[in-house]
Amino acid sequence: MKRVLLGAIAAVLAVQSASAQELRVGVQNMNNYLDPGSDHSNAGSQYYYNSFDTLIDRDHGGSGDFVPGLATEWEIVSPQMIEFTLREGVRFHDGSEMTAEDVVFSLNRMFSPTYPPYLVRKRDRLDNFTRAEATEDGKVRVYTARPEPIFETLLSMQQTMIVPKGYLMGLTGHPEVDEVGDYEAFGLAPVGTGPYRIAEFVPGERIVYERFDDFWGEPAPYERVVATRIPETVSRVTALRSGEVDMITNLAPDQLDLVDGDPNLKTAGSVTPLFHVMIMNVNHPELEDPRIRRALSLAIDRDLLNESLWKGMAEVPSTHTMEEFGELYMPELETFRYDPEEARRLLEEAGYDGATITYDTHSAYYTNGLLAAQAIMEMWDAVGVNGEINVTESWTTCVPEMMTRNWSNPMYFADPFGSFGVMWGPGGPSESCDRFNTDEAYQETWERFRFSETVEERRAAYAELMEFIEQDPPVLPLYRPYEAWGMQADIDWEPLPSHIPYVLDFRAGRITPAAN
Amino acid sequence: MLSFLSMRLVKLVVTLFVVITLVFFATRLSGNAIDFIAGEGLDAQSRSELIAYYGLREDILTQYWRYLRGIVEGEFGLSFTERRPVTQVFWERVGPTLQLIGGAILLTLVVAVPAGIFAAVRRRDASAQGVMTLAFLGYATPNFVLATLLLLVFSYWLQILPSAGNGTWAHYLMPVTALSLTYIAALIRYTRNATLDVLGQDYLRTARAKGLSEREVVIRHVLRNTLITVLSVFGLMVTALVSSGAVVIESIFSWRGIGDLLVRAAIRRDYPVLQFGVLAVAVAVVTINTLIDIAYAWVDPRVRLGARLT
Repeated sequence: MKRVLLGAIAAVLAVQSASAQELRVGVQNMNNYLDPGSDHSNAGSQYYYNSFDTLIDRDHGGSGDFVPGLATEWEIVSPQMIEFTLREGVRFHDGSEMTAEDVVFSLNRMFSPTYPPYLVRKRDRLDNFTRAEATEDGKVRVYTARPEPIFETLLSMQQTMIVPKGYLMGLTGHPEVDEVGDYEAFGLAPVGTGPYRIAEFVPGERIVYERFDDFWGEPAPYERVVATRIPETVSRVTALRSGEVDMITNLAPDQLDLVDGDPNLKTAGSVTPLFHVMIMNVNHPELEDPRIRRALSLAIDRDLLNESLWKGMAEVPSTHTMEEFGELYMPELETFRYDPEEARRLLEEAGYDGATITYDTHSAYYTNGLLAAQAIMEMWDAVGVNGEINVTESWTTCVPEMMTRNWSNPMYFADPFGSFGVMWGPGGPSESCDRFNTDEAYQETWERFRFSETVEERRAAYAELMEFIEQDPPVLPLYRPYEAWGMQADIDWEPLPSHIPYVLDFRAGRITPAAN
Repeated sequence: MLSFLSMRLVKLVVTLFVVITLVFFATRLSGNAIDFIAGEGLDAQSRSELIAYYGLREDILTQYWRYLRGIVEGEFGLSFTERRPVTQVFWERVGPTLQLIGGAILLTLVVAVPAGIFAAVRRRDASAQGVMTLAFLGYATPNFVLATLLLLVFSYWLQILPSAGNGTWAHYLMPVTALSLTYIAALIRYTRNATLDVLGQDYLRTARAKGLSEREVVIRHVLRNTLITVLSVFGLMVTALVSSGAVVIESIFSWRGIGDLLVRAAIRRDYPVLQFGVLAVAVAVVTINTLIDIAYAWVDPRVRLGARLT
């Protein structure tokens, strides 16, 4: 009897894992909606690239350079205008043909939004863009308020992916008006032009992609890709080992052995283009003196954190920079360092009186966040700072009482503007929450960094901004965490450096399916 | 019986009102939902606009009043994160959770009641003592520990049972077992004690004296009288299962049920989902309790009479 039962169960499993044309992915997080325009979450970023295109793409499998996407050509006609020649014969997953009207609609919904969630993205990254319009010969022009040095970077971002105007406006209410309800409905039934159409989306649970036969580019390597949420790490690893899934996401360094120990499995990983940071409230009475904050920063031995919490696999930066920034990568700057002697000296000079400095952390939001907090308290103690961890489930980033806490600065797009800039620009989330101040000098430098036309000028200005940050620090990037994916040994896939964090790129050439 | 029922009904309404109020205010104590929905990097102006968009700008009493009015009109609002009616979001999850809980209830009854009676009737045998030792162990093992162990043994090492989701019958074996264990263990002990009480009663001597076999004594007299006690304990167990039992198990086995939904809604501060979910669970719990009270009154006349006297 027992043998019959086991046989039956094994048969059930075998049927489930037999399909050769299917990739099954066990993911830690699944979004509750899918809208490339409003979303910038780590969970959501995983999914858009398979189903949506931008006008300009990147050669993610190769050099990472800009390559034609939905536009076959583009020309920066003036510093404030770029003109696109659209690809012909592109179809959306609903069967409609992409026109200049769709492109203009998609861009303008972000440039002058009526839907509140888009406003956030407009402000933090698309603020310079004023409008898109179609020319009589079917081209699309995009205008900016000020000279734009990074047109290509910004118009290859997830938030500028192209969506079908007619389909979207027809979702609710009046078919020729874009109401808030249309945008909300689109997030549950998204349609794009990419190599996979989203055949099924169960919020918070599952995405089923199917190969889109009318895709304009190289066909998708899989007939079907199913991404299912498996929140617990041990369950994800188990599902991979038992063959229920072919690939899993979100493995931390101390979990790699679970997968690598099995000869049928392997891992691929990289340091994520995202910083875990410590922020310091420059306007808190106890922290107003920059010397105190410099001391808090200098007291932290980030290499030791890396060794003990990340097995040395994370990356500790000398300044707020990432290799992904290309010509604007500036590792030669030394904005942040470990110098406990200097920390002690500064504390004495500032007359630090032993006041309690609180460090807020969520219990589990950031991998190793609480452990890092505990280690930091020890390091502060070593230089005479009386630190105290405050474990809180709330985001205290806009609370005046917040003194220090953990946070992250992701790379939303490959430019210092897309990481440091989004968080620490004038009027951005840090300054508008009154825990960071910019003066005229900072603002003038910021303008030069953001809008100067040459790379040299932008680099020089960025170095100056880092000088401000060093002298009067509101932030310390701790490290770029290491993140890995597990998969069956016969699948070849790896995270590509030209993508933003966590993208699951299953396009042609980016994954080699198993031979079966 | 009628006054007994109407008392229960009043209690039910009051309980639900308290639950609704507590949930409404408690969800809002732990920070603003916007910070969780929008994530990092929200400037002050956008934050304020999103607060308005999600209907959180008005003062909390106005929101509360609007919420109560909505309930009366059957409007429970849209999920913050999914932007569709919370009723829809919730009902999708009811089926899987009911299947899980139903399986656990069934397994608990089928295993625990016979095992408990057996342990009482054969209380001096080594086999009965073995049952009690197992029950003791089972009671002391938290269900998430057992769940993880099962997962490791049957999915990770032996690879004969699926670890995630609820696609086939094989998917039910581990979660149902893990969920039932504590309840089986507890119910075995209750059943055994209740049976021991019954076994000492005079009417059993009478039953034996009139010539019934031991088997008939157990089935006709012991079982029936034991059930009165078992029923009340069992009611408490069902309530515990419905209100909190499946949360961890659903997470470990990636089971898309209510527990999983409510945990995620709590983490993301999806107030409307949380409010409706807790309300629905409260309605279920209160209804089950009422039904069990009624069943109890029906089985045991002393309860009915007691109610009439008050």
